[in-house]
Amino acid sequence: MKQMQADVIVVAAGLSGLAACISAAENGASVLCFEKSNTTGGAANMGMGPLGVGSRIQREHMVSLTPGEAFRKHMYFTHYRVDARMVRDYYFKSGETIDWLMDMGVEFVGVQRAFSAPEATRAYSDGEFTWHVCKPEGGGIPGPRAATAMTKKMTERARELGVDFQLQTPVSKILMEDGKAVGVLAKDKDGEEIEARANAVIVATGGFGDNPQMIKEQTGYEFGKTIFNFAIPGMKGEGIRMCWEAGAGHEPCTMELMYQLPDNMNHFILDGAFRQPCLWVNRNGERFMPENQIGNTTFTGNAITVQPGSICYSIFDSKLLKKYKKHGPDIVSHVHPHDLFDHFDEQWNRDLADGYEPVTQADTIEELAEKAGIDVEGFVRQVEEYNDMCYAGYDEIFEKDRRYMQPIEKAPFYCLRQNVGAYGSLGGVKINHKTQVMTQEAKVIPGLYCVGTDACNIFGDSYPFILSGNTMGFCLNSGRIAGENAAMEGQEDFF
Amino acid sequence: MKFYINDREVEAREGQSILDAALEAGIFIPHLCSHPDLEAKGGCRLCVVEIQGMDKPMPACTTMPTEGMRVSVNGPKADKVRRMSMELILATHPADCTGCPKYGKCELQSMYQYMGVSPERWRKKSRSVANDDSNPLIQHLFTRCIRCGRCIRACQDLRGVKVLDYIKTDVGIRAGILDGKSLKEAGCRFCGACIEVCPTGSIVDQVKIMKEDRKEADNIVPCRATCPAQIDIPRFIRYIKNGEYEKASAVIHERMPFPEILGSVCTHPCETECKHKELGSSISICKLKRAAGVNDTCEWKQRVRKDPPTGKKAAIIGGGPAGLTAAYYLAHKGHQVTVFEKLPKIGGQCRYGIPVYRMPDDVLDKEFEIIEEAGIEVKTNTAAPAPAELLQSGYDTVLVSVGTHLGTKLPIPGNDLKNVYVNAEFLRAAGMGNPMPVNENVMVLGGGSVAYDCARTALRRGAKNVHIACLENEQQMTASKDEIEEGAEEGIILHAAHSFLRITGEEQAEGVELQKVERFYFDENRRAVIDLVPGSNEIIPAQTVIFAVGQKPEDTADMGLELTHGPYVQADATLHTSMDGVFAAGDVVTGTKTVIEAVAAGRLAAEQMDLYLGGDGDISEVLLDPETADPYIGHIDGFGDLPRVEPVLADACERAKNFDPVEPAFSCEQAGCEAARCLQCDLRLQLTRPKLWNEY
Amino acid sequence: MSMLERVKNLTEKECIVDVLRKELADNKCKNCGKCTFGYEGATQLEMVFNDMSEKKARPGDLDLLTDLCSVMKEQSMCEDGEDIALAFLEAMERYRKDLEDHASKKSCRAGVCKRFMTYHIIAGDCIGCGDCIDACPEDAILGRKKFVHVINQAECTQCGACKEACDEDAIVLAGAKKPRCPQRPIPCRR
Repeated sequence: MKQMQADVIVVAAGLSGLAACISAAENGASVLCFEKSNTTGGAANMGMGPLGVGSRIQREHMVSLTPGEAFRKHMYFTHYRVDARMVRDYYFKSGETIDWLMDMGVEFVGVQRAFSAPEATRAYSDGEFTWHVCKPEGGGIPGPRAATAMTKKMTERARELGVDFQLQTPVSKILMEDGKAVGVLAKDKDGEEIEARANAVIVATGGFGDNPQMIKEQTGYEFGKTIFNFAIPGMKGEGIRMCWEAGAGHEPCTMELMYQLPDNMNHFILDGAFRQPCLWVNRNGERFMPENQIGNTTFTGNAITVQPGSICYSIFDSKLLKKYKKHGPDIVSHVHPHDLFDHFDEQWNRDLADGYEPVTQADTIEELAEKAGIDVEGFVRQVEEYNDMCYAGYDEIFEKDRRYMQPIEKAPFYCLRQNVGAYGSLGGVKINHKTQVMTQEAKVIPGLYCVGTDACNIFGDSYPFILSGNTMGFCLNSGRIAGENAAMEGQEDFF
Repeated sequence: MKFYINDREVEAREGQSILDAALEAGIFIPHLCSHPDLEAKGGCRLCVVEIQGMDKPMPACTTMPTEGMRVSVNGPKADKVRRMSMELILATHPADCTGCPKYGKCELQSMYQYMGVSPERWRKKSRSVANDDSNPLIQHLFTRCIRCGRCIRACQDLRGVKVLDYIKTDVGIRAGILDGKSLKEAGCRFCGACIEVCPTGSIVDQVKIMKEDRKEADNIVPCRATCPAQIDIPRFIRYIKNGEYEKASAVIHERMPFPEILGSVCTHPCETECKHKELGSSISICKLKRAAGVNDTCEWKQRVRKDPPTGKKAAIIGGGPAGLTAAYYLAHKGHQVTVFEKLPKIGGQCRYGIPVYRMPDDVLDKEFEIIEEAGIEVKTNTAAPAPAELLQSGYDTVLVSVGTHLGTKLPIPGNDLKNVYVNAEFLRAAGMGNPMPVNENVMVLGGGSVAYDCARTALRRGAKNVHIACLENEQQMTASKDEIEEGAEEGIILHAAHSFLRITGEEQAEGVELQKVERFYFDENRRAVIDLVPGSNEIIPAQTVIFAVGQKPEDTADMGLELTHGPYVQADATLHTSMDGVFAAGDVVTGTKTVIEAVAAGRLAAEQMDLYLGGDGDISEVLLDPETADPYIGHIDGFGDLPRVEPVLADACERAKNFDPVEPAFSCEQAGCEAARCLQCDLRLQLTRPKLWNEY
Repeated sequence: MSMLERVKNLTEKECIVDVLRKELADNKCKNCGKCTFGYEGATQLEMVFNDMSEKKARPGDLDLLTDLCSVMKEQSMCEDGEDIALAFLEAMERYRKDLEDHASKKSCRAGVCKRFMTYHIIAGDCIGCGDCIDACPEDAILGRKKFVHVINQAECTQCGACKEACDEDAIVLAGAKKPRCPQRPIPCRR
């Protein structure tokens, strides 16, 4: 068995792990970081940018939100069911964290709020400009994956500071002695066991999005049945498990909900094409939310979850399709291509031919319901009522914007089943505002820290999209907080 | 030849491209379509560099350096080309990486992280194709194909299998199989080179064959990783395929001294893991090992380890496979070894447990010759003194490997009647040439290999009706499928899923009362639970009854060692017992297991005892020069469906009358055919894994 | 004829956008896939030119393609990619005005790109017979008997069925310059 030694050990080199590495090293600690994949950045390599409040960029863009305001908004959103000290420390650090990133060469194109969409489709007018979108290297327009520019700069910075990255080296256990974390057991890519010891261990493994069994046990969802979340390979929840094994307290885990199609990547055009304020019904054929709000993926994910079977259906007719083709979609998201409907027929016909389960096409309303598995009677009644309201020009039920009140009457009819999705899991390990891991009785476990998604217990039941960029924001700032505190472990003699 | 990259002097060998020379010198140049083991094509243009005197950036992978050439990696022109190329690739690659099995291990992902570019200024388009999950080994997710052609070059040029090619579909060009064929139909050899070289998640291993708790190399070559003795299976099979039996035998001997014995009786857990099993039927690894043993010319003997004498003495108590293996390797390490064997000959259960029709004596004698050749003193018919005494009498270390030679009876009425035997005693008597008498009707109680050995021995001793009864149903029985089948052919009547209530008779056994088992399982406390079918009792006439319900060690109580679970010797993971200098290995520690596990335990014992005696614990032997296997395996039509070669057994009626071997070894032709079916999974490990930017 | 020659020998009736996008559709590069600039470059050119023809160009498209072709001409693996790049560069030089008209969604000079064309019913020639209304698959024509019919441009898909159906030759195809027509049906003068 190989022996290794450092002041601070960081388990996994995703966004929170990188932040922890850098800040611990900046504070004088020698840092050893174990990462089981062969790249750094983890799930952040898919993202676009983090939250920050009070950054230089925001001031330049005349965004005047203060950390205190953000803190209060967050606490109202979560009804004070979460750790206010943690939330407070996070927001008050977040603006400076953006500056910190810029000083290591990360560039941002600007600040954004979530779900850019026409005003009438925006379900919340109070979304704040907190989302700092990363700038691709050498300029260009940002898109998904833009945050790799950030993780790369962070990796380079960490290496400059002497952080020792052990890639393809998964950690299996936190070593505990006398109730204190003193190191980890890991295995390198050739299978050699490593015992690494340190004054502090920071766990940052990114939750359990790729562990169906844990999803079932911790959240009740069944992967591939009631939830189709991103299962980023490697997100197995081992950090949470290791912390729990080391005596950490349990916090309730949630899934960071949204909605999407099974095998989303191969049906992306349809995923976007049906995210329109057309007619949305549940399995009983009944409408369940004002369709002009479906751009808010968090709320819509929540709404679908509470429908029978945790599914719903998005429906339009040929006339609406023609309109979308001609004038473009009513809702354009930042992830789907703008020219969705130019490719609609190609994808739709292929999926119909391949028997892709969520799609249905029919020439009558009854046949559509029958084929799609919607209650026929309920759906026929709903379509009649809906069409009447369209002609009356007013949605008596949900007051949907009248611009989107388009009757469903011209065959063929198109229907897509929508499923609950999620970006991954959230929370699980009990921590305090210094990100120190605590037992169920809120006693600190010395030397053990947990950050990022494994310990993100501050969102309550839903992702706080009103302050967008929050997932990455918490990862970065909790990582930094942990790094700063962990670097001080074992230094008591000096003070 | 010397030239300059970014003003740094770099040495290039003849035939080396600028890219190769740069990477070797530790200078990173982005690249994607080039791969260290494949011919460079220069399609992706990520590796373009500026060369003094040339007006346009040149691909470093296909440009050869000249003396004194000045190359700059990050000039503005090269950077522009490189960035645009990456943007164009990303513009048609799915934006959603989160569902990709390669996430975190993807070269493309690493590359765009390095370059940090965004495709947003281009038109984006997904060339989506349905995932092909139909093959049990290889998954195709060609929506993610970036047309680098690495898989195609690997399949066409490196392997010569010629299955993958550029194909035109209605959504564009991509890698794939011509004419819409499946991998099997196209003649794929499932070498996995395409998976290995694919820089994205387009061609990946099927998830279910990649076990998470096993390291990647072991997942790629699961047979070798599963073998308790870690025999380099694909390597020896390749030699058999080429007819080089002496080399095949040498490969096996590097890990284990008894190929022919194991080739006859091994339980071959390797075959359960063989990837070919997923395609239809596993490679007959065990029988190929026997073929290697049979055709052994023993050239390897000249290269066995002969360390100088250490002057240390080791005593081995029990000359079964574990003890003999340990003795063999300890002797090679220069220690003076004595084997104490209670019975007249060495071999343990191989000789006195396994009947000769499965394990002929001449095979044992032939393979055990090497024990004496190694200069080991063998004391047969000798009960060893207790370990403490041996240590006192000048031995520096002792290994207890006495096995499990004591048969057990179940506590049912009638178990003490006349003609009620136990397995070990019955088989040992047969092996020693003074068999115990059997009557016309014989009942064997138990469902393992030993039960079959007893039953088939009884049959050969002249019994007319031989029954086997056991609690387990046929699927749960530990006897192998082959054994059950061969037994049935010979006329053995199996009563699976039956409980035995009592043995009837006054003085002499008359019959066994059986009752049908409805359900047999172990509860959460690991206690056996048996649900019986009421009223299903019947008495089977049997004047000879043989218990074959397990064996345990004999005479361990007097050894002065700490015991566990009754008579078993307590030993830790490194085989140390409670007494310093005394080790224990094999069945006496683990309970009755397989011969190959005993051999593996013997090796571990040798390593640990050598360490104890002051050695380095390295018992490895190199018995032939390492050779790089030919990566060009060529195309074979219908390769995936080639049938498994089955040996022709002796006629069931005839063989049941005598103790002649039931199964002949493979002929060289049969062995060659069977070896040719091997997927050679290990070839994939010869491929170089490109280093990513963060490793420079 | 090579693509470059095709560009040089364009007739008055042909539209450069239409010609090049059709040339690309089944080009050698699109059938090869072995190099990024040849294959992905041709793909981008085709997609952008299709968009231009469909009145869906984006600002900056022409600069983007010029940028692309300048790299594509020297970084394609064989002459096929180079040929495409040279043809496009030539086209962008020679027919800059036509291309800009497409890119800015103004007009297709040659009247080939359907999206730039609209159908109109000349009020003086329409007899209000209703034949075109019956022929229109999109129900995009307003009017009733003896009233001049009017095409609802928002619904029209430029399929041309009405023009085929009209026995009076009252329906015309127009490019940038549109004939003056009534906004809603008025009584026929004929």
